[in-house]
Amino acid sequence: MATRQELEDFLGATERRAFKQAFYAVRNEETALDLVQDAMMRLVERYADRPREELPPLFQRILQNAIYDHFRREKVRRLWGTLVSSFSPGEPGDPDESDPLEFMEGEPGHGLGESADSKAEREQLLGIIEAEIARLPDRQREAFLLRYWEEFDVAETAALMGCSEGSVKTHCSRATRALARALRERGIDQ
Amino acid sequence: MNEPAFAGRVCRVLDAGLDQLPERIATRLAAARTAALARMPQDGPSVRDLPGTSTARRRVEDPVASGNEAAWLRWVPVPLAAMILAVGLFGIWHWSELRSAQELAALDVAILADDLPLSAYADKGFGVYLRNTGR
Repeated sequence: MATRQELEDFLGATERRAFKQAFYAVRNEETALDLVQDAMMRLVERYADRPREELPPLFQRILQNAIYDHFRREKVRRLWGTLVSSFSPGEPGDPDESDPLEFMEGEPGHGLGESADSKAEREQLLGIIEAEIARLPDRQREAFLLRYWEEFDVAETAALMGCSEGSVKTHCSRATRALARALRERGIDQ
Repeated sequence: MNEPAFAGRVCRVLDAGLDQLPERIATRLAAARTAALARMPQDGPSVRDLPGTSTARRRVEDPVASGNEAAWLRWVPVPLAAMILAVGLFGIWHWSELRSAQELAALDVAILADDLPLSAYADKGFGVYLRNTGR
């Protein structure tokens, strides 16, 4: 069973990424904060007795369900069911297979001697990447963030998303390609 | 393009961005964490961790279990309402059947008693019928 301290450490380490995930999905700060708070409360209330290592997938499941529930409520409230993103890439193969972030060297944001220009560029890059991630279709974004940001393996991601491992790979691949292409189109390609 | 490598770089940018969250959001998140942790009823070892704690006692005092019970109790009104609805529908059907049977019985009694309605005697065709048959 996770101790209170373990729960606190886990939530402290997860809350910012959780907020960003929710924000990319709902695109509203207040709503994202509410969703994260609800997810935290549900985790503590219902699963505080689980071992520490079970907390990440449980929390992700709760958070994703909270996001889905939010969209369902929105759908009913507004009487229009077009929350499905229309940004589907559907690319039949990129003309350029180069990595648009190749130019990035080292760990961003941690350089002690980072110049003001470099910092501004990095912040600009962050803004662009966040905007493009927010534009991804929901399932692609979810797969990409769970697989690569939360670092769940393919099987865990599939279990969290309730789909097959093949679907996870497809979503991740499409998301990556869409991001790469979007960044390239924004001029981030060297 | 190497997908994991590219994704890793994107995620490093995202990680760096976490430190740039506005203070108000970081504060709200910390407050949310504190509020969530406050839902844990006890500090220190829980009842279940205490030696010699019986299962029955645990069931009573375990907040997670009681939360589950509360969740279970929330579903009680659904079958109850369904049962009341079913009983009500059966009652209406039964009353309707009974009424219909009573109406049929009243008709049967009238036929068996050979009670002719007054309008039959006022009918000309009926008078012709009686003359012709000699009744």
